[in-house]
Amino acid sequence: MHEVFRALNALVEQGVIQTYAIGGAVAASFYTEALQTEDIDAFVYLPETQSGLLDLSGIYTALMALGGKLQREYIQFGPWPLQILPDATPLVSEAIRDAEALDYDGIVVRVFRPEHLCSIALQTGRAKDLLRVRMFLDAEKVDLAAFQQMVVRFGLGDRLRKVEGLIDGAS
Amino acid sequence: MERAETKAEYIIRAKALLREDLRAKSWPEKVRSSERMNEASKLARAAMEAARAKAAR
Repeated sequence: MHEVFRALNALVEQGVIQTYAIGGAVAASFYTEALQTEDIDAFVYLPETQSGLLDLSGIYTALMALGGKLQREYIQFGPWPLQILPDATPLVSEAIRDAEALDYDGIVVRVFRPEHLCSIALQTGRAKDLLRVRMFLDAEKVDLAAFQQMVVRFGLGDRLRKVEGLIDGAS
Repeated sequence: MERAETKAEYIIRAKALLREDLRAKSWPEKVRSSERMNEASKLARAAMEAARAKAAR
């Protein structure tokens, strides 16, 4: 994972991307017990081209120059697949902007905050995402006031009630 | 003319392609992957604990 984080920081230093933030299960692993995952999700601001097409070629070229191997829609660094994912929603854009810089074994890495991870999980809405939110709430890893505000701002109240129902319904 | 793929559509397609490749891995490869994640997660949580301790000082 060190090699991936170094490569992402190099992309910023080279001006290939403005910034990045780690999301998904790897980001969650900074806050809770390890979740099963096999890839690293790095979210970036990705401007659309004039034709409206997404263009990741500049990022992929730079990552390959840093030792990555291009696969279908991801870059392999040693055993770790890295996926570069665009800021598909205003919530993801905010999560990238507000990510926390942490020292991972001597390497700075930007990671989504738990409130954003939970809000994005609500937005995605698969069963495993809702369970992840429940896990964060149970482990008291979330600033509840900030999370509640986000839930309201992004219209995620119905999804949060589903998460609450995961426990209430079982008891 | 085919319309451009949205960012959300791209994410769905990219994740599906990766999942397809990961599913094709052998069982020993999957076990090694799980072990790698456990080790990486220990470093990740240590990073977070250090950051929280620093903030509390």
